[in-house]
Amino acid sequence: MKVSQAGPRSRRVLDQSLLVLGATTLAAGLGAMTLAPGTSAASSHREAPLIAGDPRADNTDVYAFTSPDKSDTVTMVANWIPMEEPNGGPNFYAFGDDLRYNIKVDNTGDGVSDVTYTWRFRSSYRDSANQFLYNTGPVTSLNDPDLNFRQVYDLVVTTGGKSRTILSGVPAAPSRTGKASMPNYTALRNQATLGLPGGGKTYAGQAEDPFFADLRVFDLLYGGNLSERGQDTLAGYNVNTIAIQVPKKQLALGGNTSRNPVVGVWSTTEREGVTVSDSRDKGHQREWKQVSRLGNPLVNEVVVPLKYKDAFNTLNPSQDRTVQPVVDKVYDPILPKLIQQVYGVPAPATPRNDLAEIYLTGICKACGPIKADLNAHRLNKDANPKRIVPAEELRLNMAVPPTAQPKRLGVLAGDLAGFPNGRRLADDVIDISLQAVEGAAQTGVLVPALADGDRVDTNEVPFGATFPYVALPHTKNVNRGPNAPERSAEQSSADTSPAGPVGTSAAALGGAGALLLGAGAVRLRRRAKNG
Amino acid sequence: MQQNTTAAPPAPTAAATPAPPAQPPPRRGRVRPAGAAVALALGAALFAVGAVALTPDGATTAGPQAPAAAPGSLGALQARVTRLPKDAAGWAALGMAYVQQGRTTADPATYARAEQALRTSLAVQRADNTDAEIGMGALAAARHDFPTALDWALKATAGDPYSATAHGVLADAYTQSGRYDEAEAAVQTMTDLRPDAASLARASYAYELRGDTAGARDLMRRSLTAAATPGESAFARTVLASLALQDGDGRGALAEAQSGLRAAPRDPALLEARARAREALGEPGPALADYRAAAAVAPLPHLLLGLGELHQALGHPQEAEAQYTLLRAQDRIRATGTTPADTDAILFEADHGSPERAVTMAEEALRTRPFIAVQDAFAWALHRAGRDTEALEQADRALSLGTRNALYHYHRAAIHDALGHPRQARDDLAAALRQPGFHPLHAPAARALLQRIDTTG
Repeated sequence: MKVSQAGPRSRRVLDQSLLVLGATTLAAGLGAMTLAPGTSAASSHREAPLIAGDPRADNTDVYAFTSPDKSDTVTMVANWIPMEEPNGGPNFYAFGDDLRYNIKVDNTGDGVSDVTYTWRFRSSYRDSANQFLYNTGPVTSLNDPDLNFRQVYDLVVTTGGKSRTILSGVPAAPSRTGKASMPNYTALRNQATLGLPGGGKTYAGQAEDPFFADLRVFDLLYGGNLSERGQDTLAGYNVNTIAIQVPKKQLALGGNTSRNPVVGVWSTTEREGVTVSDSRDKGHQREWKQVSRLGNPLVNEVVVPLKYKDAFNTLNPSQDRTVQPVVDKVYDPILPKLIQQVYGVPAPATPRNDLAEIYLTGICKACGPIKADLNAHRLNKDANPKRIVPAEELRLNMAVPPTAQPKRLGVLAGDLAGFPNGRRLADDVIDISLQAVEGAAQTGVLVPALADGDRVDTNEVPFGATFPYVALPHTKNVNRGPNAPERSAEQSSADTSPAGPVGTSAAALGGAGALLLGAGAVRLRRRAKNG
Repeated sequence: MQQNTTAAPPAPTAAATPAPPAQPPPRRGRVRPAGAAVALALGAALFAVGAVALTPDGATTAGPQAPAAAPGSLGALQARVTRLPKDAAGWAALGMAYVQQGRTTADPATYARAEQALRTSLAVQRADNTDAEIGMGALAAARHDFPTALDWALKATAGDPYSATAHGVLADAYTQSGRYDEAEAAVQTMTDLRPDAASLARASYAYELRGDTAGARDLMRRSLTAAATPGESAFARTVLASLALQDGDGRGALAEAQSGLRAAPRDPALLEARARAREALGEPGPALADYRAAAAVAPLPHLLLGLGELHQALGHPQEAEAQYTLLRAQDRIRATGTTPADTDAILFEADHGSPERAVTMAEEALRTRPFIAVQDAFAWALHRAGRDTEALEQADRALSLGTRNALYHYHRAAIHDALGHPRQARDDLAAALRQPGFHPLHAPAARALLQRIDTTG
């Protein structure tokens, strides 16, 4: 490989100069030749960082489900800061003071949030002389003097253009700095779980990352295959969680859950913008800019190509349909074509109106080929159909009651309370998404070649039975150096459990029609289809 | 149904064979021997391969026994391209990580690895490969080849108008090309798309170039708040220290540098920032120690120049000369290639070598980089060569944006003085001396000149 422009002539000169220099500069004991042709670093060129990591702003996952133990409420969980290594001291993991964390709810289907919950955090040190210390001894309560770094937040609800601060200056749970320094994290979490005026509760703080997946499944997109699976890529890591549980009627259009049971949910992160040129009117660009957004899981892996991730992150769902390449890819995704190339599983015919239903409109008989009335905004009787637009949101029909024995494959297994009808913590969204992208939601037949999915079927730790449901943060490092292989062994043994009765799940799809739900029959039926 | 679980994807054929993943280069802040070791290794490579076509050393990282690399780290990116050699985005991310690393160490071997990874990415996916185009632009800018950086940036922003990073490369290239309005527009787009540590830093720089240090400081504080890595924080602290100095606030500069060094104790830029703060506070001894420590980590020209001139000011001619010898050697190596001189080399040549040669170097640099720092260096070289009328024209250009730079003002003061403009010289001296101790040799000279003008005028 030829890097420099220097030809043979200049190379000779260079060699000579190096020989000459060898005597003086290397003898002088300093690396003069760190600078060679083609490189320099200088005070005159301001080389600011270019790809700034922004983990505090990065949404990792959003969940929305009817609370299993409190079925008149919906719980929404959104996570930030991916891949938190336990014991990530000395600074650990704080929410950003310069960010607005939002969970948004659209009950009319126009892609615009009708109910927005906004968390804003403020950090402080109890003992500002000790700013490098997170805690100075074991922390047994949120008021413990040993807890040096603290975050409090305000929670604002915006409806109909009006904002109300419903919590002010309340504490977030700290990062769990270890078993010795935070022996009873449950107690800290309980203190940070706060009731809301008008009903409901919220929690902000650290949690085990509830997402479980072997992301190598998507190696297909990058020229790989499915030969390496079965290891939970996220196992052992923590995230920062914001959870909220609210009465369903606070989310439903017109407060009427029986007429309008469907909501679309997504989370966003915003940071204030900048007016760069002072010749323009000042303040014009200082509005808040959306830097991250998430609704359905794996949207970049399954439908929106990575190339459009930047665009997608800046858009409001109401604008999704204006970016044609993104919409096009929902109707014509690349993943099934790759699966066809590698595994010979025929890619479903395009346009993929079934995927458009799952990701853009919600599922209803009138919406597309999936013969069920499940979670489209069109099912809301008071929603104006003319204002409903295709928009990527995680849609939940709140009228579907929680399932006593939830199935990890959710709707595909006949369990209508799971993804893509909302998303529960234990829903196996990788396997569901892989099947959906192969057309299983439309055909009612699971693709046997992909029945194993990622071979990770459950989270590495169980979830809680009560709010906020997420598991307590891990305390052991994931990347433990020499111990890492040992850990993988542990993991693979845990994850090689049988994949579950996939075949019967497929059959259950046909039988799902038997499930009758409140207002209307929500049914999935195999669609008559040639070939 | 065909099962294809074993076939290893064929290696990309064009341009480069994919590099075996390079040994993870020394981490930031490794102790003193790093610089020397790099130099020796580089020396060997130069002899063996010629120029900078360095082959990265053999791989050891990605083997199954190796401990798992932290997500997002160089090691993890290397492991990824080993597993997925046809992943264009993976190669681009690896290349960009090398560029970012090289940015702080100026190690040409790192840039060579960056180029190899980026060219592999482009070989795997020629069309529509915005990430690799961004990486190539950033690499060219790191190597101070701004016309090439601009070409890549334009390609990248056309391919993905939503990429904040692509607009960042574009902004940097426009700035260094003296196209400040276009640079500001690119920074505006970048911050509109994504106000994060990287874009807020660039917005701050736009303010700083216009001399609005208060605005620049606000934005750099926001960049610091948004910073997620020690490198980003160190950069923000360095700039905040420099902005404090521009306002004559030596104590504030020292505090910023100290805060930064607590997290990154061997960051050369922060050590230099503390050295300059201590110079401003009249503490040349500790300043010297900081410069020494900085130059030991990375013997960059501006650090050697700062160290040498401080030695000279303190009456240590031998130690000063040792640094100057290194600087001359560095420039001799540079001159064998095609890269124009940077401003430190031009100023050094003007003050400690041949002003005529400095003029030639500056003219050459200005052709591809009509940036204010180069115009200032050109002005000073012209002045030292006795061509003050031309020098004034360049000095005016260097200050045309309103940048608060004590050295530029001092340079113009000396030019005005030579041209017999005492009033203008006085104004520029006053502006320069708002930052006391702005330069170990020129600050005392500025005070002497001011006194002479005041007593004779």
